[in-house]
Amino acid sequence: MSSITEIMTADHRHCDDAFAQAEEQIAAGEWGKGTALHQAFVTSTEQHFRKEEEVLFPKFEQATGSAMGPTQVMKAEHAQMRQLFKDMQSAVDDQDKDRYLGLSETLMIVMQQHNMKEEQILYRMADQAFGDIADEILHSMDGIN
Amino acid sequence: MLGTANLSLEQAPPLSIPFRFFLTAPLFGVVAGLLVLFYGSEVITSRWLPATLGLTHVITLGFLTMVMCGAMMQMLPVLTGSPLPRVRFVGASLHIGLVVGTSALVLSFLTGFNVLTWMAMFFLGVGLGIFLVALFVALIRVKVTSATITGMRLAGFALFLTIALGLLLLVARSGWLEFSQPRLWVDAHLGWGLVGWVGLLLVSVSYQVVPMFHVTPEYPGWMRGALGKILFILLLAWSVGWLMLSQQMVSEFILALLLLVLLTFVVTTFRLFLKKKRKVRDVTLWFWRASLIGVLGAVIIWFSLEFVPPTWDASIWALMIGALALFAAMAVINAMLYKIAPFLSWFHLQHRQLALGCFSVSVPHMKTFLSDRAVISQFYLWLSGVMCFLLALLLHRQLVYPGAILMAASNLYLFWNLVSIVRLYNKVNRQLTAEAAKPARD
Repeated sequence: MSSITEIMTADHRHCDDAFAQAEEQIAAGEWGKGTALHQAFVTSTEQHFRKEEEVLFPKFEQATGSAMGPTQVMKAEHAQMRQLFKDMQSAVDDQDKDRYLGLSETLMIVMQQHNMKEEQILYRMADQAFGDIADEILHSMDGIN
Repeated sequence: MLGTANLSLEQAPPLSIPFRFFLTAPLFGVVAGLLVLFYGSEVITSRWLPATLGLTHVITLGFLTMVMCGAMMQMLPVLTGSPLPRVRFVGASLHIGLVVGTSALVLSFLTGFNVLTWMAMFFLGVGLGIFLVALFVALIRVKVTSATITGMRLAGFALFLTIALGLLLLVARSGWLEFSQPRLWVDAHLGWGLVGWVGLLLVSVSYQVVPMFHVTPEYPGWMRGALGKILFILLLAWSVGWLMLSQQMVSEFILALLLLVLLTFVVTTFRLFLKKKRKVRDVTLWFWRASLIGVLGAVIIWFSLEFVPPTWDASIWALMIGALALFAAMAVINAMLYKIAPFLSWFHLQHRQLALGCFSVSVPHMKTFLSDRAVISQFYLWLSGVMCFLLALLLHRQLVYPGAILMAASNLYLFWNLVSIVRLYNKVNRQLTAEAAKPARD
């Protein structure tokens, strides 16, 4: 049985890879490839966010009886990242490399510190809290695309 | 039962708390440069001279400890979900304690006035004491532990021992106590301060910060689990051997093991940087590389001295090892400041923007807060300062003077870069406030 921590952490690494590839192409001025890779990165990250917001977080809130705790903060950080996605999209549209790289630097840290909190605190708490129903939750998350 | 109520992931302290430490540290860096300029080549003659002792404490307390404590207050809630209790009070007391205490300590070394020694003991003891109590409480409350948290606990303990030994030495200095072999106690104080507090904390924070800021693979699991504990145990064994048993051979052997452990960390970090996923240029890495090379150099010199009897005055090499270790620590901290300061400013502003729903004001990204050019220029100033100091030790003593000027200048530049970040933050923050106060239009 795989744990929430393992599967969701692997998902984070996948998003990191996509991010690094997009950034590399855009830094090299390859806007064609870069734009496609940027879109692919945003798509996989959005999918990951929805797995959490639509399945994991509500179940976590039920299991722990708290809707105002860590999940609230995680959702606020998703909102911050979505705002950065928008700004980055406009930099891609304008082919403004410096702006894109300034924003990607910012996004990278938000993303990494967000991942760290999830991987080291929230997912571990989720694994402890869910017990038997963890498999079922993982299965429902697979349904999100 | 999981206490989620206690575990909010966002209890970050107000921005003014970490920033007062970040802004003060480079000013002590400037003081360090001026001290060298004033006392000249005396500071590189022996580690026991008053000016050298003053200089090392300006750097270790005024620069390193200043930033490390400020950053810990900021990072604890993020890394552990457990903030320092009464963070405003603790932040203010520690800041005042460090500023006044360090200044008094340095002046006491230079002038020998007892009243300054007592003042230093009071301010450093109380300020750092309050911080340690708060840190202890925060680390006890941690629900889910990790290698970084274990490392922080051990580093906190090392800081406690360093302060305790330092205070004892000050009591002895003021004539109330006598040690039979004071130099051994000074070495223990130095070992716990440099390897225990600075080394252990930087190592354990790197487990988080290196993958986070540079998107590298994780440090190997065994390393994260064991390295901090091994360092701590070796340090303990070394000080017992050194202080209680006067076993020089045993202590040297343990010290060799300790340096090999540090070397493993340095080599691993190099390898992680080579394997980083993010390929775009990252200028803060230059500081990291310089720092790793510095530690590597210090370890190589130490081992060479063990096996090959020094042809030159051995005290020069001891100073060289000390200088490399201090420069290495300063470089890593400089690099971390350049990530943390712009990021925090952005983070607080964007958080406000979203909370106010105020999208007509745009929040600047990190590179608007701090351009690559500003980082590169400061890096070169810093590096040339370091080179002058090292060459002054090896070749010509008069090179400490340009070294001192460059050291002061690079710290002034660091200060200016941080001030520019704060100014931009304040400007955008005011814009957001003004925009939010406008009556809503139809």
